[in-house]
Amino acid sequence: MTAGTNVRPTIETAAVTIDPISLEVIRHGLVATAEQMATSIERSAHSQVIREMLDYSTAVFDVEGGIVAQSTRIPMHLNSMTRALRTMLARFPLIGWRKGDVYATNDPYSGGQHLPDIQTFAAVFVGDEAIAITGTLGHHLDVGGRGAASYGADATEIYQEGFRIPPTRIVTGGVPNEVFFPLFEANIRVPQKTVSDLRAQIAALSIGAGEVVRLARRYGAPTVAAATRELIAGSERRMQAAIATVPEGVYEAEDIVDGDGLDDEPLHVRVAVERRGDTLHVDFTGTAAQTRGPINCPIASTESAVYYAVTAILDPGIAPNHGSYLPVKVVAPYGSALNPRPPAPVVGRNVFTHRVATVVMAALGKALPDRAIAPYYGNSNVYILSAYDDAGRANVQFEIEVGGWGARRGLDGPDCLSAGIHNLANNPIELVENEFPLRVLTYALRPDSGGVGRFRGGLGAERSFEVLVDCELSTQFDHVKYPPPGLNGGGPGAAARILVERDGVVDELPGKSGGRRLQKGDRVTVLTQGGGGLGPAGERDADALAHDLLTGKVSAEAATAAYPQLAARLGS
Amino acid sequence: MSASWYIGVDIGGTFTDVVAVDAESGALHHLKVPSSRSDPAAGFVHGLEALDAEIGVRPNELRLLLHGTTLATNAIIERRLAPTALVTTEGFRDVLEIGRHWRAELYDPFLEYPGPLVSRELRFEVRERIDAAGAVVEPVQGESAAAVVRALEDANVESVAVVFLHSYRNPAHEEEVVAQLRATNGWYVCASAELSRELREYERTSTTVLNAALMPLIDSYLTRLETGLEAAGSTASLFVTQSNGGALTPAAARARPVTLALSGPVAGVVACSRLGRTVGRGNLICFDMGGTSADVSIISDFEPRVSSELTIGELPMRLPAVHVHSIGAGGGSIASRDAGGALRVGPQSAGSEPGPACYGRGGTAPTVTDCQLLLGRLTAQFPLAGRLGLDRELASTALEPLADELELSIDDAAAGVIEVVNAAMEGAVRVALRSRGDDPRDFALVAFGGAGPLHAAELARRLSIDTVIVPPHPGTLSALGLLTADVRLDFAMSELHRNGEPELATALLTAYDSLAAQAESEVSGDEQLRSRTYSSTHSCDVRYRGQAYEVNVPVELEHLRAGATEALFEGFHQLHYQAYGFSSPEDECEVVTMRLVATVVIEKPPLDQVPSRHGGGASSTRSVFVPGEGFVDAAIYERSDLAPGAAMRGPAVIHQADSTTLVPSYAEATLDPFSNLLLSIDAATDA
Repeated sequence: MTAGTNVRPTIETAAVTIDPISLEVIRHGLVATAEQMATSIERSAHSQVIREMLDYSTAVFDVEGGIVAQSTRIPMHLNSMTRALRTMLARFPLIGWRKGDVYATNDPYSGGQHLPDIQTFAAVFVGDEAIAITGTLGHHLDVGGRGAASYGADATEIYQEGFRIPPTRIVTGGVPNEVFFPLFEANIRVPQKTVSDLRAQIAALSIGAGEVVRLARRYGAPTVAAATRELIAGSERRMQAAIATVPEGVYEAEDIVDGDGLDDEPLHVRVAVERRGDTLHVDFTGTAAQTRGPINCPIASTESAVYYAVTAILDPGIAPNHGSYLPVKVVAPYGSALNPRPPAPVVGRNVFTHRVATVVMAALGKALPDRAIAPYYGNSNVYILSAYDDAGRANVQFEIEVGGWGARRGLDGPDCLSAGIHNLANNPIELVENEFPLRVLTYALRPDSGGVGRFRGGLGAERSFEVLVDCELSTQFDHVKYPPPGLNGGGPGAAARILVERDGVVDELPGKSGGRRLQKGDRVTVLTQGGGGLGPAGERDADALAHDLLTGKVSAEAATAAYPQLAARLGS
Repeated sequence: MSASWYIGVDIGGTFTDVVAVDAESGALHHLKVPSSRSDPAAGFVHGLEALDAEIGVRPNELRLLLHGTTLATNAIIERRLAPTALVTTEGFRDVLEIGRHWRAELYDPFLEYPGPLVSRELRFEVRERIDAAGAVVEPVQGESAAAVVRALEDANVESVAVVFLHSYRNPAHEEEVVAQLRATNGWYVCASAELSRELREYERTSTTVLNAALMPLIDSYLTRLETGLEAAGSTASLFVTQSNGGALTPAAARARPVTLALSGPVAGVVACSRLGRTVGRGNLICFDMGGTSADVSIISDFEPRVSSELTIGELPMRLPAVHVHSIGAGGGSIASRDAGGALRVGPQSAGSEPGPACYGRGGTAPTVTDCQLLLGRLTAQFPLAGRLGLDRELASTALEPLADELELSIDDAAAGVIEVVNAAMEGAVRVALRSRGDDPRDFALVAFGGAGPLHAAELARRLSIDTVIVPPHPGTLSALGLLTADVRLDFAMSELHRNGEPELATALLTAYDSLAAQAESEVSGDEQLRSRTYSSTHSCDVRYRGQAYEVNVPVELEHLRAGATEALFEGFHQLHYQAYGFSSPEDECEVVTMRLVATVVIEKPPLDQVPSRHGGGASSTRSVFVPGEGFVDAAIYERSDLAPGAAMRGPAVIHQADSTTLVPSYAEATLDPFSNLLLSIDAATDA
């Protein structure tokens, strides 16, 4: 899909070449532009999702919608924005964009991710000529739908998941659309915060535009345009060179998603990665069909997770932009869970997107043993507690737990650290206990949860808490039935578990459940996944195992079971 | 002989700067001596010996010694810390290791992450629990605490940090266990509430562990310093600069060494703030460029921006600190070509060892300083820092391969490197300003550090800033800044309150009373402070409910005593609007942390006297590269020859022992009555 034919040939770009110094100077300017847009959103957003969890991204695009420069926020967002923008440009050709116009969408079936992620775009004008596009993506606290925070664990259609914004012009010449905004506000739970955050996204667009215009005045619009082209071309060349280091061949990997929360069937994710010349073909044929429950992964999310995995394994130092993604071709059959047909629900897409990343990384690890990394915890482990206080006000506690990284060639996996396509912070316990009537009993590393192997997978976490009021618990865990696998002979990480203890009786919950009623005094324990191990356990280094025993990250019993000879030697 | 000399000693990685001011005559002297990495205290004493030998100031003539040091910073970054144990609430010993579980680098899955400051086997748990309201859920279980003490006796540690949940609200359990530890063994012990009574357990744990791990190091350093001073015959009072810009007595520094983390760079900002008051400029961008990095701080309305969210080596420290943005761009930054073909400058640096190629100490990579030399802005005949000679040939040889790859002449490549590094700094300054919605055009740029004045005019022009201020001694500004600090003691206490709750004013007053008692006990317990008067200011951190970040709001106790809290929240809405561009007066507000700052004034030497000068003109001309013009003849001035009122149109280069100032063709330099160089920058046509 390209909007190129719709674009007015505004600037005589072909003749302009650019010297390496201007290129680097303009690159600094464009990166600082994206960072200033991000800072501006952080400064003016109202909601905690954006301000505390930093769940937003900003970027500058060329006039064809290719991403040129991006802020360092969430990899999952940035890799995908080009698809949404190009869909927008196909619907609204750039020739019709005017100064002060803002276009927006959150539609997973128009290049978006899931409904809470709203993307906004505006063109940058020098005189009457559009020379670039600025864009933002923000995860909103709530966009309506059947569940609080638009997480409807039992949604079966996108219509239940919230307010859907197809590609739309929401601001015209600086004037907010008088139909869109009231309609939107009437359909969401916390309109003041959501609309404020959306305004912050809109304000960032014009801050970005101002910066790009300054660059164009200083260096000339044709030079800036030439720089954007060359930045994309440079990253493309660099990615092609990185792909060329992959031995020719087909590399396969697979993993299993527990189920969609409604139907309890295992769902396979299968990938075949093939290097052909200087392109990499990533084919998900054989992956599960789209599901009834809301864990389907829109194509933009699938591509984004693939781009992350390829970049991470092949060349993490690259300046990631449209060019670095061009040599990577993604095939996901229409109607599969990785390219669903509307109106499949998608809010829990991250169950699949993490897995897309881990299988691609595993497949590349077979091609390049020196760059092998075993699968990490592989899910955004969401749990939500909700209660009403005496005044009838809702109190919602939202947490995403992470787990262990997969072991890497030469290194054990880090313990309990955000990995892969997302990057999140936890909430301080002292803050949580001030905000919600619960008492945390333990927040700790989970010993013996890392996959065994020559290099050990990182440990998951254990968190247990007692609720001090009656409330409801919703969860979206995965790798509960099927743990994160090991790689190249390494063992799997431990599976996740959710336990509820009442009067001394422990009940084990499924990974995905909505609205489980808790009584005051119930104790909930969540145990997150360890990362997979890498290489055979028999090759584990004695000092490394001794250190694990010293720190208690591996128990004596587990060591004896996994590394019998080594443990016996250390024991004697 | 009366003790009339005030001495500032700023120990950096490479050099120790000494500034001496005589309160009687106003005489001011600067010295630069090599730092001693193996024994920094000896370096300090050498500085004083040099003062005696070169200027004739005897140790017994010293009245006050103010000291800034990067010792704590370097120890943290290089992890040269004392073996330390951590004692936590049962169930939470891994909080230190898990942290906030986000990562700073997005794409590289092969990074090796440094382990936690305290390894897991040295983290112990005590059975006890206090809740969010400060109420005891479970008292300290004696057997559990005793078991931890026994385990600690078997562990080979020098220092112990104690952090219990919600101790910011009720420190009794920490105090109980700390008393047992102090009674048992000669460990250094630090309880979190003694240091930081702010909520957020990971940040408080990290702060406390860093503090505990620095205690032995700073204690022995200060002891060696005091012994050395005594042996030299000095009876001067000693103060150390802390990250909040204030000074600290050695006794307080021993208890809270983590507050020294920014001791070095902050003194320069304090000096800029004083400079701003002198010249009447309230909004300043402090631009301190040295060998390995450029530090940028913002002064608005005459006050340095202070925040409690300092991070060093990715470890958070929850203590008020002057906000310093560090950019990996310095004179030693290395230029290279990236795999995609682009020209990159930094973040790799040749540092001070081996240093730029032109230093002739074995460096072969082309650096920013090499390029400045090739462009004629520095000269081989005018050695940097009074001691180093520069070799143009070596610089040229180092740059040649890169210039060839880029298909550029040596001169164009050198100019390109400077342009790139300036563009990188421009971007960083713009992002730093944007975080508060500031416009660079409302600021003047103060340039200091060895390399700052060389880049300042070009950077200012890129930012559309019309004034650059180069203080009289840009290379030793930080040392001078030390002499302008007062003792500042921060006290804080977290306790959540909502607007509209009954008896809010009383609750806040109770908290401030408790903070005042802490301040009084700290001042009266310190023999260097006991006899001095101090003043207190009060503030609190407020946020909209559900927000994660707070805004610091000044508090008038008078209002609270009258039972009124409206002014506080009105102030909050206003400040929130200023900082974030919006306010929501209809939303519920939360008071999170109450703060008290006690300022103990210490006497200052006269600093604004200007020695008379003969007022010489240009000493010569030299060919200097100016962007857009190529090499032009520039007038060369000696700064020490200039008299107030002197005016110089660019292109010109002004030399002084500790720095070099470039005045491009689009700027005019004048010397103000306080001997500051003011560069007035013509607006760029493309700005």
